[in-house]
Amino acid sequence: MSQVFVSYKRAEKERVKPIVDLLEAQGWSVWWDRKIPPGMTFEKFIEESIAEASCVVAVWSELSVASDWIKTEASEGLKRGILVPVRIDEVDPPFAFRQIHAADLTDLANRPDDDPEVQGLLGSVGKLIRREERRRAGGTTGSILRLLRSDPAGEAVDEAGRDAEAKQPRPARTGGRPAERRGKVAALAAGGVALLAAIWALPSLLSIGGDAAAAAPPPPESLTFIGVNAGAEYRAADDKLVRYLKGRIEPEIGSDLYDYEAAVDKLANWNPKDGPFLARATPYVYIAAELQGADLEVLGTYQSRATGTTTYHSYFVVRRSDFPGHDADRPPSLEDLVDRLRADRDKRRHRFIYHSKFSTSSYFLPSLFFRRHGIFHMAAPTESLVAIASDQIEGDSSTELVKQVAGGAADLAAVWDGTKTKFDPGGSLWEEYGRVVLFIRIDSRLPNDVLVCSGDLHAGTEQQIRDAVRAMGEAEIDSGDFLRWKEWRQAEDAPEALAALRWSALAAPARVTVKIGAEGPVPDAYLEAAERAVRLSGTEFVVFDPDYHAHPDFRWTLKPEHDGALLLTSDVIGLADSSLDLEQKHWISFADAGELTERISAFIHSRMHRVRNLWPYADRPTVIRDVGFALPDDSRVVAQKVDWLNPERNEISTGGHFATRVAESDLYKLRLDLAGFAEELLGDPMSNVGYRVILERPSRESAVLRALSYLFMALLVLAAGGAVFEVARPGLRAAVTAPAAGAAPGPRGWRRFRAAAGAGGARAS
Amino acid sequence: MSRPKLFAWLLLTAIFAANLVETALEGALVGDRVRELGFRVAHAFSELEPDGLFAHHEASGPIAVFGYSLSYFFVFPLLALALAVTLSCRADDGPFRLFARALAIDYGVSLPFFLLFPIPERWAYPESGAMLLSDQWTSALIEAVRPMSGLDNCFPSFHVSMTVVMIGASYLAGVRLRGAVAGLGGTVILSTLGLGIHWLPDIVAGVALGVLSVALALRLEPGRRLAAPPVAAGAPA
Repeated sequence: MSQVFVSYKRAEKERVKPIVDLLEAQGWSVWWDRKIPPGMTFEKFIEESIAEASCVVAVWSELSVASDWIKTEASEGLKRGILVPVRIDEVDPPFAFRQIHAADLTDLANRPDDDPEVQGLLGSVGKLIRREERRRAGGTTGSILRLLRSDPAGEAVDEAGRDAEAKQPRPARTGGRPAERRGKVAALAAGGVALLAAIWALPSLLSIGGDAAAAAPPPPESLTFIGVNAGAEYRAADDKLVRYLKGRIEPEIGSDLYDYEAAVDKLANWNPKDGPFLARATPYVYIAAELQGADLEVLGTYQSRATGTTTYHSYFVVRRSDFPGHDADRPPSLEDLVDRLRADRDKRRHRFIYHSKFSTSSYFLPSLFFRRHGIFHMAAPTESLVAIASDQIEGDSSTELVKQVAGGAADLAAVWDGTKTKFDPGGSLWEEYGRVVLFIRIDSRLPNDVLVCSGDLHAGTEQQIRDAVRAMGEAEIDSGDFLRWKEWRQAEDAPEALAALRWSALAAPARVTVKIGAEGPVPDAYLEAAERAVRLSGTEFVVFDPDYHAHPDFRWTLKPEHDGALLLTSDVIGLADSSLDLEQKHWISFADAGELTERISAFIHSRMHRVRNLWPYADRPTVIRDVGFALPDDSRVVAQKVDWLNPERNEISTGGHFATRVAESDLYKLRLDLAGFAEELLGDPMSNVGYRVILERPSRESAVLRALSYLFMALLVLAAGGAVFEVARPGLRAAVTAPAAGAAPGPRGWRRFRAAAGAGGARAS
Repeated sequence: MSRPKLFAWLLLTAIFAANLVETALEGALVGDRVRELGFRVAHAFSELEPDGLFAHHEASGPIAVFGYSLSYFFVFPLLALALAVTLSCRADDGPFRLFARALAIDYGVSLPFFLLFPIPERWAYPESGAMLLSDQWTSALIEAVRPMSGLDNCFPSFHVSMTVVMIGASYLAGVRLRGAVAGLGGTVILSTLGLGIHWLPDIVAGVALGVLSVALALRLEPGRRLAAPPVAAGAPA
């Protein structure tokens, strides 16, 4: 279904077409051609189209104001609060629709692009579409989250939506009809619930984010443009973009240039106090920053001179002599490449070269491919892994990579379309180098560099940037590979390419094998329950299979206790330093073996230590967080150097464990203290050597239970004090309990009771 | 020993024996449906409490582990025995008789709950997140008392109600160390919660039942009204 439904008189199709063209030029899908799918009635299809549309544009003209059908369609839009009326003749809209301002599009052909009426129409439609997109993406939860996060964008859009709704005429009060009464009752109930929810949530809102209840912040006065320093042509393109935006958006723009690593760090750890930013980021920078917690909104991408589109491909470069039978017209496949590397495994190590670890096409994507196929930078192959040598060359030229492969200095590299073109038949370097190399396309498409802004950028400013990018001319930038920028929703297949790359980068946690045993007689059913729990937990833990796995990582020991309870002791196998003490004891109660499975599975999620590998792309020891529990700064974690020999079978060679600390922790990552790590082993995704980290589960007694302990101590002290008072200090007791002067000493305690009993005629003992 | 004291001792022994028998037969007496009901009540109890109250119960410090265990498994029986012996050594029969009768009432009221509402102990209800804290010391403790303390005999807490009876009796009898009895009794009550055995409603009900038992026992005594407080000399009548 389309985003915009245009309601107009059929006879005026030609007059309405410019309006439709205008809407479609914004990248919005428009339903107006009245084509009905086979098997569907016209009425039914119109009804569904309006129900699915984000906006209904009613075109009022001398003909349409008299059309009952147009009025019906407009009424439906009005009822949903998504009606945007326009008029193409000097007519008054039907009475029921006059409270909404109709954009004056008479003589549209002669109106300039920045005509206020035209811009008003586009603004209204855009707001409604964005509101609907956000509603579909997040629904109520999204709104609440935006409110809690004090998301100005969300607030602004909601406000825009409210504005649009406020302009709708209120239905006349007819009262009395059952449907309306039900509606009123429902509205009252909803209002009551909303009021209660607001009362309930108010303290939280005030304490979590005091500014959440405040009005939306004003647009920023300035904006920082962050560029990634990737060469002169990129800087020139950035300068042109900044110059283009100046004057088209309200905030002033200042520029900052960072190298790749600093850019990732800057985006991931942006301080909101520094104001909002706009950035050009390579796909790698974007994904690395996002994985580490950057709150980014993608606004656009550029159209490449080399590919003519917003995406590109990466190609492995190999020497033709290594692939006999193949040529430029019939290049080898990726399977051929892997087969070649495996075939040569025992003969030689192929040398892979790259120019920058931050290059998406030359390093990031190839590294993902290699890891997926068990190809690592390592000294010698293993039974399952192929060894290659991975080296960085001097300079930042991907052309040089191809030249070195062609010249025999290296066996393998990866480049993008722009570089490949130079070496293709007819290219400038074909004769000298292109004839001796072949290019193997990696299937995944890559998005061109993306234009992003901080997630907290004012919605109005963000819209100005989107509008400016959308209005950019065909060759507005025309610098290096940059032809022009395109707004993200108009960026063809770039969004899908970026999403695919993001998912590729999210590697599943390495498996951790658990060997389950017993201390004392344990029913088989309990051991099986524990194995089932590991399997059903859906975590990195797998049951150690001695016929398959080479190495158990954890040892679980079950020991029956009293009643329906057992003690599960979990420990890391082969821990060199016993002082690290990673043993955990869990007393687990259960009714039967089935429940024991559920209990142990729940314990894995809620109590047990977890294991993660360091993210191989970061130069500082970093764990991309995907576990539910938080580790506060300065928490202890235990790291272990691991040489993977056969990851599938958990065949590893482990170095010693060492304790380190969490230096920085948030919801996205854990950054660890560098001490203890060999820096040369960090940030090398090609290597089969890395670190895994045992995340020690923090275990703290609740405040209530701690208070109980203190109360317990206080009672003991009181008891002791009372005993001392009664026994050891009779004189003191006598002084304290002596009757007042002149008062007659009366019976106390049981004697009082006895006295009363005697008075009642009870038998004396 | 006077006959009333002998009867009181016999009554206490009968309570003890009945408890042993009831615990031993409980498995046969309580059906699955009743047990299911107990779990549902336990679920209701857990819903009454703040989330995460026992989330990291195993992280309790040694004071809690050893202190609660000592109170629950050692102080409580020793206190009961010491009080019984102390009261039975008194010249008066009344205090010991009151104590025994109160305990009998206490047990008599508790028993139907144990049989009809067999609510599992907190640690045995998986959702609670609690463990039996004394297991961190040794599981021999719970195994030693299990023959006289059923796993499902949770509501009302007999430990708590009996402790309240002991405190009440010691105060009514003017036991010299009643302050210490109250303090130690308080630790026993706390330990029922801290060890992960009892739910809060068990404890509240236990206190109420203890007070009720003493009051009823007092009412059954021949002289059931306390004497008027002493009047200071010269004060108006």
